[in-house]
Amino acid sequence: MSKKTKRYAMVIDLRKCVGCHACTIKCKMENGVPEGHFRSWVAEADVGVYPHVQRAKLPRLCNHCDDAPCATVCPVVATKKNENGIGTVDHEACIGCRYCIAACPYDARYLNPETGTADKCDFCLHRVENGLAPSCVSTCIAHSRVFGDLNDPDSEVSRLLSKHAAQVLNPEFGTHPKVYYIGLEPVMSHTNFQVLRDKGAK
Amino acid sequence: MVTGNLILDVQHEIAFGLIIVFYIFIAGMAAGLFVFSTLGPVFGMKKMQPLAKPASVMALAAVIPGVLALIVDLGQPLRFYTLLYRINVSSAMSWGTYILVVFSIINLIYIYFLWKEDARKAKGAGMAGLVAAVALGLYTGFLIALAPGHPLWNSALVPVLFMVSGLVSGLSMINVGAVYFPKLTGLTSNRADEIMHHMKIWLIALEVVLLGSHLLALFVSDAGRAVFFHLATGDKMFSFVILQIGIGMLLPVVLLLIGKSRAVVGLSSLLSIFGVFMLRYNIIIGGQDLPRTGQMMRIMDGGWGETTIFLVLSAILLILLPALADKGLTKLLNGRIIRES
Repeated sequence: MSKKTKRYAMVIDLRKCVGCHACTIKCKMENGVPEGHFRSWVAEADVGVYPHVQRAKLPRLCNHCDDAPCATVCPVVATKKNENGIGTVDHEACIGCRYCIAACPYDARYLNPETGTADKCDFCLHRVENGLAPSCVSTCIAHSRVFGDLNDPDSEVSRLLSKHAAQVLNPEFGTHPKVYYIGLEPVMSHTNFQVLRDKGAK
Repeated sequence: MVTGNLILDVQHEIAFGLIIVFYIFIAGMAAGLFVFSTLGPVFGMKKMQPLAKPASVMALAAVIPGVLALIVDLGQPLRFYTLLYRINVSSAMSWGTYILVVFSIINLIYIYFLWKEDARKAKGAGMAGLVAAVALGLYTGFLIALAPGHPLWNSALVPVLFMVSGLVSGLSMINVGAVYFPKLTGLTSNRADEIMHHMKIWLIALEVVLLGSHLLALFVSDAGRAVFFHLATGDKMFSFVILQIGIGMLLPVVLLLIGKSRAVVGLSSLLSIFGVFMLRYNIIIGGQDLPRTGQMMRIMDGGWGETTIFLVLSAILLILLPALADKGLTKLLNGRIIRES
């Protein structure tokens, strides 16, 4: 496999996540995310029946899908899936029509009220280009988040994916996400993160 | 079954708000108005010929506030023109931009030949316009059908439902013009009433069948079932069951079946237009209310003020533009004829 082209991906080991939300905060600081919006966040749930109660955590961010619905629908090709596997928004071209936000099946996008354009996680492209890990990865105290190149068989993400049966969120959408989770099964089998509760859920 | 209690999650905003609801409503009405305008010139239905001129101008009058609403809704409104040269063939919005442009141009040509009394050329323009009008009615449905993760949107029935309800709103607008503003719109209650009466009952019946099939097919998935109950018994029950189905779809049909007087037709048409707006509202907003992950409903960020302004603007244009266009075009074309001779 060619070492020249990178194919970035993230592996999140849910068994290690302690739910400290440092990634949420660091991401907001690094990327200047406006109030009320998040590029990265952690959903939490209480799982099980006493005395076997656990806290399930699910860190969320843009899945950098290979078949990204947001890139499919963008009418001005501002949202692109780059060769290195990172999906980006061109803030000079984006017209803020919100079509990508409606199309994203992971709720990963928002309209940035300060720029009037669509925004989301870009794996901290400005850091990655300079040889640094995304800020959520470098700040993770539990080493739950791992970032790297799928085209490099010796990278930590490749080794983790070869060792574990990693899963992605909502594979039924056929979007082929590039954010993998280890230990997703125990979290999702007990917690219905997609339970659609109606009344009184505001 | 043990299910975990979600105790922490992020609440998201609705992507397509009320202004988009208004746009999809008024675009459907424009398509419907144009289709009914061509019944005489293109399909040769003599009784429908008096509709042609007013309805064609009203279709244009509906497109204007629609396009304005689209531009106002953008996060970067001044970049709207880039839609014309930055094209993504896989995006329904890219297609829609050109459908809107082509529809408006053909409609202008059609209007020109109608006033010039050139039946052959008006028929040609009308036929081309019909294709554009149907494309306009359908694309607003494809726009949302192509967004994965929304069970209420991802159906090939949605474009057809939007087209049919667009026809209902177009026909109702013609009736409203004929009953309440005959002088301004140039529409009169005439021989065409009987045909329109029947058409409307059948169109609403078709709308109900399409909506019913679409809703029943939702039961294929958990998320779809949740949206069904969100509309049928949940937070959207009032706007869906009472306002849309009851007042906006069934009551107009009942009224039409009981009486044929002007007052009844007028009232039923106003209710029908309201019903079509509520259909768009419930599908666009109702389809986004439920989060794809998490348990908190999404936030809808107002938009009532702008939408009210656009609704009033479209009402004014729909009622006043036919008379203005008639005066202006007659003067313009007569002037030219006099100069030519």
